[in-house]
Amino acid sequence: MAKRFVLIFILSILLTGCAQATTTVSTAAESACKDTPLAAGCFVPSEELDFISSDPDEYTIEETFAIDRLNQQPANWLLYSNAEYEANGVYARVVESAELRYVEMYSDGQHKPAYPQSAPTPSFIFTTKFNLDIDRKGIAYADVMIPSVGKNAVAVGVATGAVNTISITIDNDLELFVKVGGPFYYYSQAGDGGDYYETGITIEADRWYSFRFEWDAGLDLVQAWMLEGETETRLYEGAFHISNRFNGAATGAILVPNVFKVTMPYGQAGKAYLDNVIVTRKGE
Amino acid sequence: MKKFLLASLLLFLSLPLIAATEAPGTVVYTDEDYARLHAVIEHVENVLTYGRAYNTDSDLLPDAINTLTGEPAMWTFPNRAEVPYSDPANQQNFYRTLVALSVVTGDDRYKEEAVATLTEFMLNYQSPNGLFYWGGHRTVNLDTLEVQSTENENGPHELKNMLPYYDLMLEVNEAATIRFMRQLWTAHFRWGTSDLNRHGSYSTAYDVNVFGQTMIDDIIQMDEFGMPILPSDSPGDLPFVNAATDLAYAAFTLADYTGDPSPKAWAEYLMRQYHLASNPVTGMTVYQYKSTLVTKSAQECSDPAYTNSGCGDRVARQFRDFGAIAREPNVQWKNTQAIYVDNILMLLEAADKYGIDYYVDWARGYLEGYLDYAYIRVNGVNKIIPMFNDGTVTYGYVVPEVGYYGASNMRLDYVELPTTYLLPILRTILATPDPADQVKLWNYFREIVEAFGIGDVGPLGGTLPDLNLDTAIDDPFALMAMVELYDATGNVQYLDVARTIGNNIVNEKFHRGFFVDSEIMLYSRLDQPETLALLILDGVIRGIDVAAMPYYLADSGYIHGYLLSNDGVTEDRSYTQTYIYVKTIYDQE
Repeated sequence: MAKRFVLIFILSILLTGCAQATTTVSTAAESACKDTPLAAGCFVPSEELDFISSDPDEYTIEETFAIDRLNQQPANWLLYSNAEYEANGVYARVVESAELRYVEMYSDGQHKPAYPQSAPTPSFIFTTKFNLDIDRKGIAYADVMIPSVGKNAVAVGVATGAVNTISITIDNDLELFVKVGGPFYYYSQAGDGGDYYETGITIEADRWYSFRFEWDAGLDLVQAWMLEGETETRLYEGAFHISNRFNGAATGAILVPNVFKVTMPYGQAGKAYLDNVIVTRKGE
Repeated sequence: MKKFLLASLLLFLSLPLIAATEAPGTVVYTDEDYARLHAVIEHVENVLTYGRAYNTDSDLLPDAINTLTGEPAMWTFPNRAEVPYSDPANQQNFYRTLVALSVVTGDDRYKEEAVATLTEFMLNYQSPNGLFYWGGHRTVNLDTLEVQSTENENGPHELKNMLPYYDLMLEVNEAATIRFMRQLWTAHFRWGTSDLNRHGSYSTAYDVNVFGQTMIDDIIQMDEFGMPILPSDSPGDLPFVNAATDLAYAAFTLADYTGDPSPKAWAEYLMRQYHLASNPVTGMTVYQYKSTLVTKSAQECSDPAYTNSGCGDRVARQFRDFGAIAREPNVQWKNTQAIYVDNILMLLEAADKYGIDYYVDWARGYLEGYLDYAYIRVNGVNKIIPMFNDGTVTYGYVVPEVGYYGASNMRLDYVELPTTYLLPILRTILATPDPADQVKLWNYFREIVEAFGIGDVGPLGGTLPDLNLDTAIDDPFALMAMVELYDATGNVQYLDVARTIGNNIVNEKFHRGFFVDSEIMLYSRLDQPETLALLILDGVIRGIDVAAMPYYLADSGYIHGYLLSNDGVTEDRSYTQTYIYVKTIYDQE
């Protein structure tokens, strides 16, 4: 009896041991692909991957602000600030006068983006985007007004990413300039800051002015115009600046604008007003 | 008969123990194991197919592939110029992956692909002075196959913990590799003053006798209290340890390969300056052993946002409240990956391969000091307390003004301890000969592993673990740590948990035919360590010696320079890791 008990006890332990061994030592079968991992029956290559197109989607803009909400920043626009900017140190909001809605823009001029360093980087950067990368030409319009009280200098125009393509600048004396290109991203101050051109025109405060900017990469041409009723005054016509070319090289491919940009400078406070920002295809 | 029964009984009873300490090479390779390998092969094939399809005139590969378009990742300059970049310094883990894949599949084709890429690169993209056109500020434009700078037109040479796969490079082009390893020192190290600059010039003439310079005294001396005196006389040079790590690794490899002891002596000299600059009380080490000399005007430096190193020590400028300890070398909350992970992995590699045994003691001292003072577990999560290396805590400090270390009003908080720390801690333990010296680090390792959800590695030695075989972690460093523990102990529990982690990696990170950081991430980086980790696991299961597989050393490849901010309208100067590899599939325009 004792022997039987011992035998049963031993068998039960043996069975337990076998069960434990089964869970610890994998009994899974060896993979048939272990030694032939690249064989036809083992490796199944990806089917051709279903990638999406990287071609750009072109779009234009028509920003009259007529349906934007009062006292709010217009939709579709980006106003730059960073952690150093004071609350309301810069703002751009829709206001209304005589049933006309437009954008009031303010900058305290206290802070600016870190880059490009050593360049006259603005405090106020207000932008919206468009895309005419396939056409590689286009036309942009904008209306600008400088108030007589609390005015600021302002630049308005089109940019290639972060780099100005062509813009008009109204300085503190209300003199009108055209700026072509720049600053280039590493800003060596050796001609890559962009070029200013005097127009000989001084504008009046509290009055709206209309401007038109044209570009055509195929013709290597940029233009700026001032529009007064039926009168069109050409402010500038010339080639793209090297800062809008690949690597800033004279032979580099032209990089076309995709940003409509308004800036006000670092170091001074004040306001300006903006309306009717429109970008259309050229030739339509 | 009774004796036979007893013997049989003992044999069967011993089976579970045998299984638990199974010798490598006896493990069954299952279909689940093959499924992981299948994913790696698929990824590699897709990288080779689509990476090479972009420019069929070249065997170069892009640094990363956009998994929605199949095109190379693009560096976008502030003026919208887009460059599909190929920077082989940032592809080292892919070359290791290719070689490892040849080892486990027995098919040389994969290694040959790595050789083809490196052959073209080393033949065509080495400056006349010996430096390669690669690294942090130079890359090859896959549209034109011309060298592209991401700084000004003459961007410098920079390697920070890239730790190239020199074994393969020497095999591909011995002369070019040796020339490069020598010129790395000529271009970056100032022999008379021990200044070291992470930037090297492509104009510095090649010096064949570069290591024949007269050895100089240690630049770091001690004061009367035995504390290191850190000079502030570096003329614009910043002797970052991540640059020194690459210099030392090149010199050790060169000495070993050529039999010339002088590169090794200079590498030991260089790394000794960091050791001497370490805090002898806490054991915590430094990011650099010098601060820069003030060379810019007071007017330029009056703007705190102007963080040029010519305005002097940037921590001294931004953290004045902390007094003399506030120096760039002493910071222990930024660049700690370079100090305590990449640098230590290099030191341990040098100890193992090149016989610098005392580096193991250094590594242990640095890690023990850092973990003693800075490690904290908060709500079950591994964290680091921000501090200086004398133990002065900066936790909770609100930075009063903008500077190199961030915006004003930034509050210094705990920093999460990444899984990358697992490898240097474990490898230091395994390289430490005396078990008594292993105890402290093992206890930290045990706690850290447990907090990562992998379970308990048990008491020192790791032979009695109680691991979480259902762990959810999907991390390559955790995977490699478990494989290396299995290799060291033979305990199959580590292999089982490694398999779980490997499965998690495939489940969570293999999408659209490529390994990505997670399902929504847009880019698949060639330098990602996941595929190499999975292949090391695969090799171990097959019984291949870990030492026969390419070894993981770093995952530090990056490009730095001027780029268009992600808002599309402003300029920044930043990194691929900050701007490009953070993009998700929802950012695809």
